[in-house]
Amino acid sequence: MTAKRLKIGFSIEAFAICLLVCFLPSIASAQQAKLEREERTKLREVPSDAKNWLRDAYEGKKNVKWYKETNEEGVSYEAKFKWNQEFHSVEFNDEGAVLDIEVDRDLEDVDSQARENLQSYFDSLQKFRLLKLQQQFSGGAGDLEDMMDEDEFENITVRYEVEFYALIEGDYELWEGLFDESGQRISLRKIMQRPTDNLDY
Amino acid sequence: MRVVLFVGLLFSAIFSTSQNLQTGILPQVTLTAPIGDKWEYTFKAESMQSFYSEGEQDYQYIRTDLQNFVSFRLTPFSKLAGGYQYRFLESGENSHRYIQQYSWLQRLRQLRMGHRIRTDQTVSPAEKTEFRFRYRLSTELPLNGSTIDSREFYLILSDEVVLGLQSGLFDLENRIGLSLGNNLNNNRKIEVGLDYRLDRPDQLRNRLWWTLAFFFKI
Repeated sequence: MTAKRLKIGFSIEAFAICLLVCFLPSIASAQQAKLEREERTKLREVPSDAKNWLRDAYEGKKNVKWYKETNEEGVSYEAKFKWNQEFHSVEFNDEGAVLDIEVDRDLEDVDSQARENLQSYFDSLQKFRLLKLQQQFSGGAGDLEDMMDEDEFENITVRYEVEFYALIEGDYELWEGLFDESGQRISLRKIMQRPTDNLDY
Repeated sequence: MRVVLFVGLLFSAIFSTSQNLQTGILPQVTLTAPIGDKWEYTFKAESMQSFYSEGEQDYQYIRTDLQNFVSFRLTPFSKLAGGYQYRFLESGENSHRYIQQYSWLQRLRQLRMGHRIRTDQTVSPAEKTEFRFRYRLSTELPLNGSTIDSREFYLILSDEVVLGLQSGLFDLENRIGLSLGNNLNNNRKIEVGLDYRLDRPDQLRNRLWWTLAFFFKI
């Protein structure tokens, strides 16, 4: 018996038609998709108030990466850079007024009371794995500048933003939790992860 | 800069040994559908066609693979999958392949890294069963900002080492991939790039495939 030959080839035309059929709806829906994006932006497109504030608060800082974020609440700008061996991220509104400063921290570097409360919350969770912990400082432009320059914390709200894996109420997911100055939980939300089909197959 | 260096090294490696170079296209489509909360079904079709081989232009249809996988999400960052592939070969010696894989995701500040460990067994009427062990590392780099949003471009760099065992003989292959992707929305992606494969079946063999990959998630 001769070996059975079976050959499946793509003709270019058939392939092109398949692509069009598959991708037309997505091109159309992408147009309607809510505009939520974060992108690098050029220095000259950043409001001058934001650049001036950063220059005063972080004296001598160079190598700042600027990002523009657009979501349903509007436009904001974010400066990301390393300062004293720590990652800082400073957020400004569309007019360049500073909103908050976020600093990446190790749990060991968090103030003792907050650290204890955070640690006991983490210990209460099953399959907990910490990914990122940020200390967030918010307040008026002058107060935030005083905090940076003079270590003064008047009128500054301190919070912690934590990204972690954990099993919570039967859901083993990636979470983002917001905690107050003393490490008490304020809110919790699930982070939707992009599919990994292109990394798996 | 690092990307330019990488591409430069890739091409210099290819052209320095180009007498055994084969090049062509490798289009692929991947469809994934969830089955409940933790399970997923994935179908992948891939076709290999060569246009240039050993210094001559020569069209050759090589193969088409149809793959089916069922995966189970072990944790939010890792998956276990089992798959079956049917390969249509130009020679007619079609083969069956059974695939087992464990993959996990590593999230870094500006990029995602995907690790994949795979074992497979290829059964064909013409040859003895081939056993392979593979490890692939893929890095996804956003080209705009630090996250990949809708309609944004990204780069995928990957390297895979494939160790094969057939009839008592070992074979080693390395595959380097570089693709430019666009995230149309979170469930649809297009990637265009190069897949460079180096192995030594009897003598050193270089194969360079232009890839065009589509990923759909339902």
